[in-house]
Amino acid sequence: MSAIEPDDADGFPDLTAGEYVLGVLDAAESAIARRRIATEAAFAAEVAAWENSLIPLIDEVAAVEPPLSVWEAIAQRLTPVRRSADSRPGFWDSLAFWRGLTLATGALAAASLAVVVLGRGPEPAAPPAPSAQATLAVAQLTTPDGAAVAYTVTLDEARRQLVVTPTGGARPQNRSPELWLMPDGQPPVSMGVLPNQALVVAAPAGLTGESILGVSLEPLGGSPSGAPTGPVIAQGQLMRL
Amino acid sequence: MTAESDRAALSAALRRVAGGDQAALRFVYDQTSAKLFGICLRILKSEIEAEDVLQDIYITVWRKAGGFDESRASPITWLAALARNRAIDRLRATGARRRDIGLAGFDAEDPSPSALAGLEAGEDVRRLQHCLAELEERQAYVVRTAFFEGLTYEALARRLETPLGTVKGWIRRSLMRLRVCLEA
Repeated sequence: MSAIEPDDADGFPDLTAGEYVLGVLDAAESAIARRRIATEAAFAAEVAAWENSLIPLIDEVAAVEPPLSVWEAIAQRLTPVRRSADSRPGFWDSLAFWRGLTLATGALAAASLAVVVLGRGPEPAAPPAPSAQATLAVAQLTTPDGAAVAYTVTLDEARRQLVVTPTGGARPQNRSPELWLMPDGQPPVSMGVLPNQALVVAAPAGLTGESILGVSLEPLGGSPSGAPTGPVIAQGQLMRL
Repeated sequence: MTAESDRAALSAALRRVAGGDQAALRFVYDQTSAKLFGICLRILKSEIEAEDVLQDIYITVWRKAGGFDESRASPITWLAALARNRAIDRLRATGARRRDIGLAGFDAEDPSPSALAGLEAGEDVRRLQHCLAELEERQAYVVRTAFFEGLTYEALARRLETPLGTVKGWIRRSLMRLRVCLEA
């Protein structure tokens, strides 16, 4: 049909970068554009410029909360934390253990349990029996006045996995709580920003069953400097069970 | 919270994601997933497809956050461009099927700016809206429809019942005028 069309489309300079960003290219043309982005610096810069120009239009797109299942599916697909070669089942896999902990702290929500279980990655679902050989350490991170437990932290030393569970309390607006390992006589080591839900993280080198941990209040997204900058809102020491 | 501190927090979080920090990814997700889901829904018009693509987007963020360059784009621009690309790819992959089914219920969505849009918008948004307003009404409509729905030239031509060459002319003329206006 193009033969009888008016040639409105002709006589323009190459606008491929803009057309790519606008989204009017078909699948094959987009694939070619992507190859050019990877191989031609000038074209990549042109695409970046068009993105900076056109993407602000998303301001007009209404935000829609995705269902919780989306994050759960993402968490399951993240690269699993490093596992020790010895993958015998331990306390870690025991739902009974977590139920016990729930009772013990009185604040571990069922939702957090789900996150803990999901966060472990693709593993057999059936909780095996607790093993006496598991090396677990637990800390209750209390507020500086010792009046309230802000986080419960559980370390599986064999697997080098740490679970951090918030145990209630208001989360400050516009600040991020950040977890720190406080090695004796050395600067604190960041272990990441804490979400509102239970979090499974790989234990950093130097973290033992007797380590001291702290949580500081940092700018959103975490300390910009890599060292704690805000007040300590919770602290405590791991103790082996 | 200001746009500036938002941007700084997201940039910092993306740097941490690049270093393998899962909690930082969760932060990025909490801050941006509703917007990116809205973008995916608008393009894909299917919650199931949009949820699936949203997953892929954040898995890509997890793996490729190192590619984010603060000096080239704001974090939300980087994330939104990634989201649009993924959603558009999915649309192209499923488009052949969907085209035949028809999406009459969605076609009526008006891409004109709402009265409230831009009320709290940043400088870049106001500038773009000003430049779009300078276009002929029909051309601005076509640009908006292309942007929000991720339609190809062919799909736009079908939608508007207008010859392909004419639609290409509208878009290319609009892009040229936008470029001139935005650089002014």
